[in-house]
This record gives sequence, structure tokens and C-alpha cells, in this order.
Amino acid sequence: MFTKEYMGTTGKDFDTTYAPTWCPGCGNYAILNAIKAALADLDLKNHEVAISYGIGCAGNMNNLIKTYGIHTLHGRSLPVAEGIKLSNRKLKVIAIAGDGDAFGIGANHFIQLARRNIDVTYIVCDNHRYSLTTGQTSPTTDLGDKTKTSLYGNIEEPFNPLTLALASDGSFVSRGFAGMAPVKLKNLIKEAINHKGFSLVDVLLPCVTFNDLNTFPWYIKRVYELDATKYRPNDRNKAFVKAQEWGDKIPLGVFYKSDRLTYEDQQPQLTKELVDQDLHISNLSQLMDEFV
Amino acid sequence: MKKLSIIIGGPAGSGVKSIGTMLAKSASRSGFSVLGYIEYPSLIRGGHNAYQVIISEDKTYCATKEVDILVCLDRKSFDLHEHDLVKSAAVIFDDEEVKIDSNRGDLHFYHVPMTELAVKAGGAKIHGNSVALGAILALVGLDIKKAYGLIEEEFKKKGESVISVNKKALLLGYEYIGKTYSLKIDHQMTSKSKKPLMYISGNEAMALGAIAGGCRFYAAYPMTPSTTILHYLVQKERQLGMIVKQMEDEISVINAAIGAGWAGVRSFVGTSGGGFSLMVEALGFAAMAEVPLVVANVQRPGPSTGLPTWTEQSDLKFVLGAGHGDFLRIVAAPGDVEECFNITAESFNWAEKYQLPVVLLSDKYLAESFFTTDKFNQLNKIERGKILSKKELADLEQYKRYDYRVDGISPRSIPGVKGGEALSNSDEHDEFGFSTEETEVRIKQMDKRFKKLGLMEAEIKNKIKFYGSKEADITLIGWGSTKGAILEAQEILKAKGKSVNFIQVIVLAPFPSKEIKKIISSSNKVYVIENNKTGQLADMIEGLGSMTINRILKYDGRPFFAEEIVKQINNF
Repeated sequence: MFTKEYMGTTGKDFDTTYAPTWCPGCGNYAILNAIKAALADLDLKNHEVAISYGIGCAGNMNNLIKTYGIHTLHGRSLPVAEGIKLSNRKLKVIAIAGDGDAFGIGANHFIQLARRNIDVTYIVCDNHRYSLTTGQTSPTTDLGDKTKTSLYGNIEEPFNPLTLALASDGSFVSRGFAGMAPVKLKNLIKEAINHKGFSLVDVLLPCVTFNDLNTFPWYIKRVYELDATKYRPNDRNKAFVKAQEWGDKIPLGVFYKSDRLTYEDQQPQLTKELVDQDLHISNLSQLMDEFV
Repeated sequence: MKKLSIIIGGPAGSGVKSIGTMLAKSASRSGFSVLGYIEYPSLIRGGHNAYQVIISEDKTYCATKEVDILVCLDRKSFDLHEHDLVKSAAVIFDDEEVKIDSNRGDLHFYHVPMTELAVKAGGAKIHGNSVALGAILALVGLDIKKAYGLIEEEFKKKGESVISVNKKALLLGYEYIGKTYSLKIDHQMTSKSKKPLMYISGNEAMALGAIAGGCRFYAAYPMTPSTTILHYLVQKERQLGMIVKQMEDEISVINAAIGAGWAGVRSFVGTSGGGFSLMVEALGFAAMAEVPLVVANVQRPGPSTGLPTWTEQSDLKFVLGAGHGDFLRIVAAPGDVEECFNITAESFNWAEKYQLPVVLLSDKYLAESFFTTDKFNQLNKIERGKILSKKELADLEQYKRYDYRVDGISPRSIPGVKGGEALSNSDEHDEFGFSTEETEVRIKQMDKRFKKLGLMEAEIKNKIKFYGSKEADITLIGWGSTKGAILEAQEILKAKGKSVNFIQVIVLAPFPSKEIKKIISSSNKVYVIENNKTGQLADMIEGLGSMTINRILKYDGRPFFAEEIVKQINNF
């Protein structure tokens, strides 16, 4: 089943020497493999990619992918990614964070980067928990689910990253699942990376240690692929409706995709990347004359 | 020192700023030294704005309480400044619009029918500002041609008819004084300077310093009194090939600047105390990941929202200690516009050489007042520190971002360059940047980061500036924008026969303990002058252990006047 033809490249070139610290059975292993395979499939070189990591179990992917990487602060992988992209648009910039990081403390940055359409691929490992801090409720925790900090069941309506991305004019909005066929997850991530603009890939995964509700079997009973249906991701309003589907049926794949100008491509002064510019200024005297 | 203090007062939106600026530049272009100090409340229309223009032959150091000429665009301006008017001061106003009554028989009232003359010039009430300006120029004896030039530049975009109305109004105001009043201000000043002088604010000087220092990325969130840095750089963004980004909050501002710094671009952030508070976590991030960063905190009175449009220097201890855990930073405080330029330019070298955050402290008084000065000479060269090229990386068996070096500084690689792939990490990390929890590695990395201190202490020059002789009895100490008032106080005291020297502390981290101790050990009395309630620098100097420190403190949102310092010293 997992022949080379099926999987494509495995992304060995992006391996590091560090051993993962995730629990056995964690969905992050599948996401990690899909990311490395995607980078390799796209013929990207290690030095051409910059990854900005959040803090948490997902953020701990920082030690595991051989590219230029920066392990940032909780909730702040996106503004760092934005600074990187604006400095050097030649880099492929990816941000990786968990659901607490991305949709709690980091939610505002998520909205702003979507609005600005900064060309960053945002891979969110969405397990409905703050796992590294041992199992608190997260913004995406299901209604009624009991966690360490929702002892009687969560009463907060869960955050929907897809509808929020759509409402923020996100130009690529998608959902994956760690239990998808590996080649499908890889292809989804490839498509997101190739998309010019802000791409969200909200990857659902179980947390085998702290989440007894959204398990692999729970998901497998419910998920279905959008591209196996008549659904086409070219209508934001239809996508908004589709994105609200949750419960017995959970759609996976690309909900919406469109092309619009990125923020950084609308900077006519970037005839050279910022990082390639000469630091010396020749007309300082002229600038000072303006104050005379 | 001969000087003339003129205040233009009126509600926000009535032209106070434009009259003040044109008056100041008429004087600066005539070769006078000018200081423009503006007071404004936190609102957009109404309230009371006051633009103080101090004109002198020699360099003017600081604002002054005393007012020689008061231009009242409303009654409130008179009431608020009446008690500061010197004997026989002049008051200019339009008594059709503004009714003034006063018990002071010594004052000279110059009624100028601003609106009437504006209309006569073919304009409307708003052109009364040019009438007022003309009147002031006549009273003070400044060259009207300079003002014509300024009007042409200011209204160039609005067209010839707007220019000509303003010029006519200016002339009518000017002639009105000549025709109507015989008594003028006899200030006996002659202009000294032959060179073209800039009339520039601290914020603008900082922005120029950043440009000169190779900065290509500026991120900010609007916050008084730092916003004018953003406004200036946004105007120059396209011309200079920079990115100037206003972001959603101060947290994204500093994190984006760290992303840019990490990606190899000199980045700069401007804010005030409240915004800096939001940036504190990221300060530690820059230090731990060893990413270059420069942040300007343009202070205003706190705590919390405080007095948004006034001045104070009460964030010193905060900035020195901001951030959890142990890490190094450089903190520097310019004291005048020239230092705003040079220190800002140099701070980018510090950030990249030592791979850590640099915090610059300014304040509303320095940032938003205007000072005449010679065009800046760029004193520093651009030094980027240890950055490995593609070839150097290729020669390495394996690149280690945080390898151990004698001086604590590990060479950086720039993202996008082959062979330099590495992890920068907010977690404690090993030489490769991988997260680690091992005790020995932790100690080695922490010690490595702290090794930079020795280098910084040795290499950073001019941590203090010293004015006067080492043998003096009295030592005055200050930091930041109090420089001007202290220098003027020093002159006043010297003229009265006192022996006084002055230590201006410029670099506050690493703190120049040795240099300061050496000087104060031979002083009889030490005064630390600060715009804050608790005497934050005074505490640090007291901590050096040698002697009693007398404190001269001001925390009413206004800058020090030299006279206040002198008075308090005489009272001690």
C-alpha cells in the first residue's frame, strides 16, 4: 500500500538528527511526514524554506525539519513569519502551530495575515486541546467535552477556523486530517504551499493522551473528502456554509481558493528584496535639506 | 544669553502649529538658534495648544517658563499664560474675536485685526494666521522674505492663488504693526549662523539615524509620542526601498521586527511605555534566540494611560529590567537631536554585532520639540558583526548557530543562504539550536550569552559625556532630554561663581559604574536631576555606594526649566 509510487518521495532530505518527543500514536507524526514529503516533492532545497514555529506540541516540530527555522513565542508564529516574508519574498515561509496557539492567543494575527494575504502557509495541528500543558480546553474543544479546565463540560461555542478565515478574506482555506491517506495530506500541503497568498491548512488530529472524544475512530466515522463530491471551492458564500458542517459529517480538503494580490507584491519599492539591499544611503544630505 | 520666548496659544485646529512652525523657520533661516516646544492635550479639536518658540543668538538648550511675547488666538491662552509673562511683555490678539482684560498695567497689548485683514487680502478667517505671523515678524524684526519662502513651500501643492492670499495677509499683518504701533521689541539679537540650519525634532532625527544606520524595516503601532517616527518613515518608504509597516498591535510589531532581523534585515520598532509593556515577552525572545533588534521607547508620563501628550522619563528601571529571566540588553538615551541621530545609527551596529535587543529611550519633550542644528555628520560606519557567507558555510563541516566562542558571539547565517540552515530557538538550546534540557548545555549557553557583556563594556564608547572640570565641587547628573536644562543651569550657576560639572549618562546598560564613581568620588555634592517621581537613575547611583545623592525631581508632565534646577540647588 505504501509504495514509492503511492507516497512519492519521503522527504528524507528534511530529516534532522533529533528524536521527536510526542506520545506514541500522536497525529503529529503523520503531519510531520506529510510536510517533509511535500517539501521534497516540490523540489525545494533546505535553505530555500523558512519555518516559524509556535509553542506547544505542534511547535515542538521545530527540531524535526531541516530548513531555516525559528521557534518563536506562543501565539506569535505568524507575525514572525510576516516579518520574514516581507524581508525576503524568495523564501518559502511556513508557520506551524497548535490550535491553542493559533486560535486563542494568536487569533488576531491569524485574522490580520489572512486579510493582508501575506504568502505564508499556516499549518495548524488542531487536536482540540492544550496538550503540552497537560490537557486544558482549547478554542476548538467541542461543546460539552470534559477537559481539565471544563470539568462539567465545555460551554463555549467552539471556534471555527475555517469560517473565520473566510470572513477574513482568506484566499486558501482548507482542512486536513492526520488519519487521511498520507499522500492526500501531502498533496493538500503541497497545494497550500504552492498557493500564492495566505493558506490555512487546519489539520485535525487526535490527542491520544488528553482527548477521549475526538479519537481516530471518532474522526474516521465522520470525515469525508470534498473532492469526492460535486463541491467546488470557488464560491466564498458556499464555502462559508460548508465550513459550518461539523458533527456527523466533517468535510476535508480545500473549502475555498482564490487568487488575489499578496501584501508583499504590492510594494513597488521592493525592486530588490530587503535582505539584498545595500545598507548605505546615498542621499542622506538631501533628506536633511528638507528640514532646513 | 540673549533669548526671546514667544508663545502662540489657541485651540487645536486653529493654526497654532502652522504659525509656530513658520515663525520658527523664519528665524532659523535668518541664522538664529531656535527651540520649538509644543504643548497639546489629548484631543483633536478645541482644548488649548501652545507653541513656544525660543529664538536666541547662541544655542538654546531648553524651554523656559518666562514669556516675552504671547499671541492669543483665544481668551484661554491669555488666562493660562498671563502669570508667565515677563514685565512689559507683549500680547498680540485680535480684539474683534478675543476679549482680554487684565490687571497688569505693564503689559503692551497689540491688537491686530486678523480676520479683517485676512478678508482684505482676499481670504477667509483661516488666513488670519498669516496676518498674525506677519505681526509677530514685524514686532521681533525678522525678515519677511524668509516667511514668503516658507509660504511658497508650504502651499506649493495648493496653487498660486492660495500662496498669494497668504503672502498678502502676511504683509498686511506686518505693515499693520509698523503703521499702528511705535514700540517694538528691542531684543538686541543678531543672527550668528551662516550655515543652513535644520529645524528638526527628536523623532525625525531618530528616523534619519535609522536610515543612516541601514535600517530597512520599521514596524510600529500608533502611540503618542512615537507616532511621528512612523509618519516620517512612511513618507520615505517608497523612495528608500524600505518596508514601513503599521501592524495590529505592539506584539505583532516587535515579533515581525524579530522575523525581519532573523531574516537578515536591520529592523526598528518605535513605541511608548504602554506599547513597550506589550513587547516585553518578545524582548526576551530576541535575547534568547540571539536576534538583532532595535526598539525605541519614546516615554510619556505613566503609569498606564497616564498623560499621553506630555513628557516624563519614568521607564528607565522598567526598560533595564524588562523581561523574565536573565539576559543582556543595551539601553541608551540620547539627550539632544544630534545624539538622536548618531546613537540611533550606531544602535543597529550594536544589535547586529552583539546579536541582542537594543532599547533607545527618548521622551515627548525631545521627540516632539524642534531644535535648530547643523546638518548631521554621519559618524559611524556600518558594521554587521559575524555573518557567514555562502563560501564560509560551505567550508564548514556542519554549521552550528550557537557554537561556543571566546567572546560569546556565534556567527550568524542569513536565511536563504545554502549551508546555513539552522534553528533559532526561544527554548534553551544546544549549539545546533535544538531544544535541550540538559544541565551542562544550559550552563554553557547561558554563560556564552553573558560573555557578550565584557565585549560590550570594552567596545561601547562614550557611555557618558562629561561637561566641566573634574575638580568641581558640585556634580549634576542626568540622562535623556534633561541635558539641555542641566547645561543651562550649569552656566547660570557658574556665572554665580559656583563650581559645577555635569555627567550626562548616555548608555545605561551596560551601566558605566566605574566612570561615574570616579567623578563623583571627588565631588562635594551630587544632584541627580530626573523627570520622574522616584529618582530612578538616582537609585542606581546611590547603589554605587559612595555618597548621598540629592534628587531634583519633576513629574508634572512638563520639561525642566533651568531656573527650577538652579533654585532647588540653592535651596538644598
